[in-house]
Amino acid sequence: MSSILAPENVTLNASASTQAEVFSLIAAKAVELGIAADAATVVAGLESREKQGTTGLMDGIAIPHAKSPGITSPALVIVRLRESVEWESLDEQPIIMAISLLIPEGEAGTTHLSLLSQVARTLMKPGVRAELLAAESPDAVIGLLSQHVMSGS
Amino acid sequence: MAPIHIVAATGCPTGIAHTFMAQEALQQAAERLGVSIKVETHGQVGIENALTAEEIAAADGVIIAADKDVNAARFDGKRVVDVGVKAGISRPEALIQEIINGTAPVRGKRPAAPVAAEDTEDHGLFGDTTVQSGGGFQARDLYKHLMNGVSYMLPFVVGGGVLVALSFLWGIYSADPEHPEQYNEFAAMLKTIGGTAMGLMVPVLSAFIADSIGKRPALVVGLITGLIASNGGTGFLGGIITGFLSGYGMLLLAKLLDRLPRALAGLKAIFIFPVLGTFIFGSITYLIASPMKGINTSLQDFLSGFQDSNPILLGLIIGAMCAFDMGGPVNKAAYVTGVALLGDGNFFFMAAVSAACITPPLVTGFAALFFRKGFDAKTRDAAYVNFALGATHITEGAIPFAARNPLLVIPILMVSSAVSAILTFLFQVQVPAPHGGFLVLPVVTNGLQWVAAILAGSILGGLIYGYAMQRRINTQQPQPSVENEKEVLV
Repeated sequence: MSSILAPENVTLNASASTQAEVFSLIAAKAVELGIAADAATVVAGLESREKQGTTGLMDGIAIPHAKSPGITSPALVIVRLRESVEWESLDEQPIIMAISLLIPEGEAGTTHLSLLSQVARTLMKPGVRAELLAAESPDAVIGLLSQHVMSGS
Repeated sequence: MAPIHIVAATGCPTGIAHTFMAQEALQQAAERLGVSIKVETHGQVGIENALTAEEIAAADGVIIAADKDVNAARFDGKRVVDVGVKAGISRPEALIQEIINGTAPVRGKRPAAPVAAEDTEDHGLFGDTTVQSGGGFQARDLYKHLMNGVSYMLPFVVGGGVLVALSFLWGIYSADPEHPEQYNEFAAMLKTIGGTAMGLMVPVLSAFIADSIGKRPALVVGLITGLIASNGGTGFLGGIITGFLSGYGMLLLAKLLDRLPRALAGLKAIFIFPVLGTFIFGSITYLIASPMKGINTSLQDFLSGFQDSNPILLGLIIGAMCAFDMGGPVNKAAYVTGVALLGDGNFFFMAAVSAACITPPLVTGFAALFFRKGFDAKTRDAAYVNFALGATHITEGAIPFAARNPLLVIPILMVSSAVSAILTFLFQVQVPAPHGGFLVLPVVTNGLQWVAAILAGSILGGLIYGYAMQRRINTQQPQPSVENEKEVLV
């Protein structure tokens, strides 16, 4: 649990002006945390998923995700931006927070995958998106998600 | 009013996030709108919260919010809202409202939103013959319905045709007690059994065309009208017409009876559809049987006249058709005609079609045999396997070769098949079985000439194809000595 949902995985007040820069931020963070060996494969994974259909949701939140052999363990990387970036989304609003799901190719353990799915599901609960956007620290973000994941399902 | 119950299925390509968000969104929206819902998820970890047949049957409506196949065919006959996974996330209430209001179309009856579904159902002799119900009326559907009928009909023709042919091993009159010199009881039995199977050909064709269009109610009517047509001497053309008539007719009838009170729903399937459908479409078939018989007879006459007066042209057309797409619609058009004519006792046409279908794989085999250097080792092995495929009438064996260089290979195959077919006509070969390749040789009339005709076309094609491939290799390697050295090193 802790490795997937830890405060170190959350960056608030990041700056990026394009979707590609957001991807780079996520990839760099993944490498820094030891989730992936190489930033380029993470970016490629995110881009290829995006091509299948946008991951932008509503209220400024997107869930870019990647499944790639370059990713060594399933994890969540969360980036909240100072200013929103253009991103095709369901309500046509720009994106200010990316909750990124990184999945190793051929991940066998279903526990981790289910946990990631729980996080995604949490985003649909009333109020959660607004709370995430307003959270003041990485700990608060993780606290929010943990609380809802635990209480959910 | 009873509480509304909805079943739903969600799925997305990665199966991690959207699938479950759509599930959550639908569940919450259902709660807000005061309806109950069960959502099945097609995620990375597999199907969770799976819907049972009873739950589907009991549901007032179905919501599909998926960008992948969620096996939608099981929802046929239900009111279905069919959208992408994102719509499930962004506007779940609107989707549920469509079910509540009853505005969602019934799947498999009226055009529904296109489904991006992959066919996972079984593939018969003719490849994919399953029908995606719903969707608009398309020419492709007509072909699929027809092929569904043909693929069910084929085993009847094979079983019946071979038994009838075997009975002729005792002589052409072996089943007729009027000819005591040839009469054999066992042969007579074979012919009776085989003849019965052949007699089912047209009804089965009609029944399963209808079934493909309108499911079980249409199957009943299709079988009955097919038998009426068959008894009326309309041949296979009659069976095709009654099949489509019954299928689409029953769909129309179902639509007209849609307004009946729900209490009568049970009565509909077991009483109203069979009685009304059989009466209406049986009468129509009864009335048109005689003109159809005329058309059928004149077509037979035309073909056999063609066969006698211009065997070369007919052989050319058959050969070219069979090799054009190797198992595709053009090939099947020729093939189905051959099968149908078997039922009418014309064995010449089938002989030509079989020859033309056996030839393409053999061409690739001979090409690799004669021009070893034109093919790499793997391709050569595949080509040799094609001797076995060709000998058993599996034209599809040539497809990998044609797919690699279609513009070169397909014309060569068409010429080769045409040569085989023309020679088959000229040698007066008769093949009474619609499949099996050289396995049916014992029942082929003029079997040796038939093999010779096929080999002639195949070897000719093999020489041209192999030579062309070898030249290609040579021209691609302007410095053959260096390349050869490398090859030796490797």
